[in-house]
Amino acid sequence: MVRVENTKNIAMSDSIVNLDHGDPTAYEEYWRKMGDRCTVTIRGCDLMSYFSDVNNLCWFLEPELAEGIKELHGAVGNAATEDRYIVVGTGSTQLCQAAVHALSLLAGGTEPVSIVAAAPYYSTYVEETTYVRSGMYKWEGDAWRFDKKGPFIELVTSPNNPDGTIRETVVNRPDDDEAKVIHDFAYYWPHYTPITRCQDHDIMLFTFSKITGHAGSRIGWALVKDKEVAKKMVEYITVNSIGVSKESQVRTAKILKVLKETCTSETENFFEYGREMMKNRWEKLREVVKESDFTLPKYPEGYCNFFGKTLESYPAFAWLGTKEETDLVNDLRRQKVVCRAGERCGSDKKHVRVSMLSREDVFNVFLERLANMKLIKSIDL
Amino acid sequence: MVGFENSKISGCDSTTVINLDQGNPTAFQEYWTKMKERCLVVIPVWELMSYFSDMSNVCWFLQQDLAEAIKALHREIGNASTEERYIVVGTGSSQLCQAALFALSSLSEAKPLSIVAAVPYYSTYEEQVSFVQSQLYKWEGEARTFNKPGPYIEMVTSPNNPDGTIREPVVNRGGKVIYDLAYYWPHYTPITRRQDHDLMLFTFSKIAGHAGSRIGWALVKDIEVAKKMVQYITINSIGVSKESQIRATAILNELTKTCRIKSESFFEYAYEKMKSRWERLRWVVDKTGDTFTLPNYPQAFCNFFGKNTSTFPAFAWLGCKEENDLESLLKEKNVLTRGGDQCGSDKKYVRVNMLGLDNDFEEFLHRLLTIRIPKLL
Repeated sequence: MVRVENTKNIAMSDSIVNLDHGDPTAYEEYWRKMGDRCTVTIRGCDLMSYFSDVNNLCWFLEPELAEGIKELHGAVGNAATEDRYIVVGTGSTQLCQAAVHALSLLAGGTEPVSIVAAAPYYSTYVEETTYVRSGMYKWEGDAWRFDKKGPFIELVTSPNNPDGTIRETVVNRPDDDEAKVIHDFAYYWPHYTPITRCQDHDIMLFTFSKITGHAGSRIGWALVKDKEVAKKMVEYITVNSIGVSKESQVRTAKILKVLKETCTSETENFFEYGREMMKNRWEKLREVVKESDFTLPKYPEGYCNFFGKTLESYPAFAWLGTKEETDLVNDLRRQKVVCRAGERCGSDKKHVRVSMLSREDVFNVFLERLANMKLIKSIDL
Repeated sequence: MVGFENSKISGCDSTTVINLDQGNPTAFQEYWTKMKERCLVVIPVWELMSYFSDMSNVCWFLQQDLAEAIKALHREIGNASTEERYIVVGTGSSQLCQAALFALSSLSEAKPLSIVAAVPYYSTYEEQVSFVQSQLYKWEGEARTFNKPGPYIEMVTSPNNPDGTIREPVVNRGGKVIYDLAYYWPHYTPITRRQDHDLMLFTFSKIAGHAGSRIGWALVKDIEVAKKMVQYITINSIGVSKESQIRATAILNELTKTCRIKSESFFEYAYEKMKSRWERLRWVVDKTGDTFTLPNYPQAFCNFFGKNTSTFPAFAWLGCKEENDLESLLKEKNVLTRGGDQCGSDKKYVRVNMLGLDNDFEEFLHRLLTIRIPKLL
């Protein structure tokens, strides 16, 4: 339970707490404890060539990373990897753009392909689909309100960013072969949400950043069913950056291997650790928000195949709302807490997205400032 | 004299495909293997986890050590000014080139901007410009005949890819220029001056052969251009691999440290290697009489080596007077090269990678010697 100190001591420091981005530094503590387990050593003559495996459709994918990915999905049971092509990218960010590009190109036609996502959506999708002003596709916004004819791509993030909900497609035109879906499963891991089934969609994106917290590596992967789509995604990454850092791939492979090994450990299970940490944070947050004008989504429990029991969801972002008619992002900014405005996510001024993955001390300062806001409001009454 | 007749001809079967189409710089692996543990990079698991490198920098994802290493090497080699410039790191200079196109066109009032380059040009430019069908810019091809009104960006690669020539802008109408200085290093060409343009691109791949790292950097004068380039890379890939940056730092620092020690200097080693390969290639081309052509390059005083040196480019721009499709002719001999038509030129030319493995290079020379083109009577 969070103790609310007397008003004089509430802010531990006066500095700005930036919870706008999802920098996953919360996991640093776990990896420090792992010591030398995943230390990577690279010699001057290693990894020099452009090419990883010329026999692979994704010629810049290091074979040991491909193995590591398949093994981890196998151990966690969150996604099918059989009969699929793995495409590696500089973060799932690059892969999302590769997928949008590939699908739009393959759609043919003269009109730009519509890109939609159900609000509230990952605000970055808007930037990703508009910045180069491609004539091949066009951001059409909220999928709930989409009724334009012609080819379209729906971006489905599940658990969703920013609000942590489990999502399915909302634009349902079952007889429409012009309808394509890109599934972003960045947070579909047991520390955030119960693994209720093995996902097996046509295009599934994953990011290394949000599994273990290694955001600086810039590694993501796509599991792609259709060979032509995979080829076009590879082509995109070839033109964009002639492949993906091999140093990052080799490091990721090593960490994924150890991650998989810890899955069966009693004491070191990363997902166990991550879940405990998220649970602890969410409980503290809900405690502060209790009996206030702030709101948080509720998540249904689900049976987790990985942990073998019924569990709750603890998303990587808190979709914090307010019952008041106010501009919450600015209210928080006045308390020196920076977070992402709900409006950027296709929602309203009453919501903000707050990172739950910062370092412990930063998170605690956020709780203190939130508690302070609650206190101030109660005094005002 | 460097003679082919004294060397052992490699035991390659003539059906083995020799791929000299891409510029994979595996020739330099030999040097780094000899260096053994010198540039060992060790990364503990808890390091480099954050997205952020340096929040006080315009380029927030640039590791500070890499910035220092880049400046130190440029200072030592004397090939580019780094003072009063912003360094933007990218996933290869490929990503940076596209970031630069985005930045310059975003900042332009009129769009789309015309993108031009003087023939023969780096074939990939056309792909990079056209691929995403951006409404910000449009590929307009040959710079020498470019006369469309409105804003433009000229790509100037010097030494040029594919033909190794030293280049200046040709349009000269007050437009923007992106200087791609990938090969402006002493092992390829004399360092005649310290380049100090507004936007200069460099790639880690072509300095010492670490193409797999995917690291490039831009030296940018204008802060608004630098900011826009950073914005591009942020949206495109939320920054650049930190592991690669750490590795590039170690290698660049080693290059700087050893560059004046003759027995250890990478640049000494690589210069000799390029020289040797070019001499062998020229010898073979001479041996085939009038069949093939290669560009000639003037000697010049190299400020780094402190003497007159020659240009030994990373690609050979091989021509053939009698043959209309040199790429196909070489393909029949199982040698893959890049057709001149892809570089805006014609099929009488091909671009050949001079940075491949020793065996592949020797085999290529061997096969070149076996080509007989029937002359018209």
